[in-house]
Amino acid sequence: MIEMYYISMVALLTCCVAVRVAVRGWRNRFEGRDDGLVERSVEPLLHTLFDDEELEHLPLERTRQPARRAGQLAALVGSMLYGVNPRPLRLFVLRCGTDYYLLRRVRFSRGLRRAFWLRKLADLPITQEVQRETERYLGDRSPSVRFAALLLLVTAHPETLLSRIAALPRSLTVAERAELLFQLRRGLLPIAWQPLLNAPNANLQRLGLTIVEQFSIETAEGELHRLIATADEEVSCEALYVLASLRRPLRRRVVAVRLGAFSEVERRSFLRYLSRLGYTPRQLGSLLSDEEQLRYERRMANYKRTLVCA
Amino acid sequence: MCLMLFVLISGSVFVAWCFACRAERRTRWLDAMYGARCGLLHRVGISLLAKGPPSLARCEELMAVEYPDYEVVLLFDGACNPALLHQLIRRYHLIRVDYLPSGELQPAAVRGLYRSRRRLYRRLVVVDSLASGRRALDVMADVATRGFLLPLAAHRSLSSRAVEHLALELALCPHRPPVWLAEWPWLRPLVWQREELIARGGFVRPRGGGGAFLFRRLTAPRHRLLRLRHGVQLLWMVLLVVPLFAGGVRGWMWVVTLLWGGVVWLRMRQLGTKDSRY
Repeated sequence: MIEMYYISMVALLTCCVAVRVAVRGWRNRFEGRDDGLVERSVEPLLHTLFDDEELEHLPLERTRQPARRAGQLAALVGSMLYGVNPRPLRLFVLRCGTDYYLLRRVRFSRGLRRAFWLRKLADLPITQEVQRETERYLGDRSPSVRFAALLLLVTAHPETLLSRIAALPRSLTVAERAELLFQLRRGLLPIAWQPLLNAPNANLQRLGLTIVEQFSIETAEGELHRLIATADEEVSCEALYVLASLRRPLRRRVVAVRLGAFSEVERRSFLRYLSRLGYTPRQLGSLLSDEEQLRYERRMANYKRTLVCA
Repeated sequence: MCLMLFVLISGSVFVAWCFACRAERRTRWLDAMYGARCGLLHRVGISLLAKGPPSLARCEELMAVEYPDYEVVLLFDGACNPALLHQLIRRYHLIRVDYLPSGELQPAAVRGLYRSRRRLYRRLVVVDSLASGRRALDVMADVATRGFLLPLAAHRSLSSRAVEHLALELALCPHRPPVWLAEWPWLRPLVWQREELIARGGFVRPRGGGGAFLFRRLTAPRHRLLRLRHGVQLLWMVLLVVPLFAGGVRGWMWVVTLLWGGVVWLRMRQLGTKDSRY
């Protein structure tokens, strides 16, 4: 009896795998042809974007999965260009139905797969309907999905950046801030760092600090000193690191007070960072104890060569 | 007994397949994040510690990592390999600098410390030392300047984007390294936080890095994970027919077995072709 069941199961699996093999084989027949059609679509699309021409029908619309191919091409082109008119790209995506294609993949996947498809959707100009549907993924179980949905909505509506980030119940991680900064560098988000540093919310302050550090905004020195003195522990620690990365003087009293509140491990880590940036012991002055001064000089010596023997 | 063994093997193969799928999904998600590629992960620095005399090709491979906040610390005995040392000095425009141990870890004999004069090769540090085992790792940790240390065994190499993925994983878990970095007690940790290591007094195990292939998903490129997943899939499919042979194939069971074998063969052919994804 068990044998019969087992054989039936194997027979059923045989049928399922055979169907899968057949479907995959059928699809693979057209991959090469579709790749060629996509290659031939790149130049007309770029002409449309740069010369502001009317978008004609592209060869890739004849592929087997035009929505998927259009999404690939639009994401690739969009990630490489800066400051072009997004309207032709939006029309192109709408005509091929790419956003609905990706939305279907989002609906029928879970966890990291869903986050992956949402991230791909964030690279494309999308419609209001897609944005409304994405709102419900802000409450997903997976933090990756929640962040990917947030990134998509913030990219589609940059004016909501402050309110959405401020409403987050948890801190943004370094990787998440990096993704927001990437969208910012593509010109999809505003670069106003002052409102961010002056905001009462820690997430907004952290985002502002990331922008200041990335673009080496030296004029933010005053705000950085204020954050070091008044913000919460994590933000003030990060502000101290950003001040150091800008190679600004560290002789102010707020810096000494903040450094005094560090644990031994944090101090060591910070001083090692300073040595890598090239601060001399003289520039640090009274910030270092005698032992730290000696260790710091030894670390600096590892970058130099003694030319004259004493 | 046979049945139990079969269930055990099938179960293990299934678990391995699940892990491989999970790792592949995770790698795909990390590939979709652009932060590491553009140098936007602030203060997530990785120092790669490699000991043993490397070939020039291996140095080139280790230096070819695109992640910006990264350095390579090479340690070997220059007296036993003078030709290699001269080759590295010429190739990377190295200059000998002073070496003074910081005092954070136990000092060891270091003959020379070399850094590059060229900005292009600033990420390379060569240590000429007799130290071996734990001492060698401690020396390299003393010289390293980044917050995370990645010891790499001599017989292993980095796969593409391994360092970017590692940096992203570290950046996604701000307060502690992710569990997978040391999740199996019998596997050695992959990555060490420098300050925690110093607080522990240095490397407590003679060799850092290593670990079972299956769980090192960040040092396996995506296509290798796919191959692993396909290989496990095929093994599972083959294992399914084992009980038929164990019990004695008879009558029409041959038809089922032959059909099954044909399907497995077709699948193998298909998996050998390129797997195109979005």
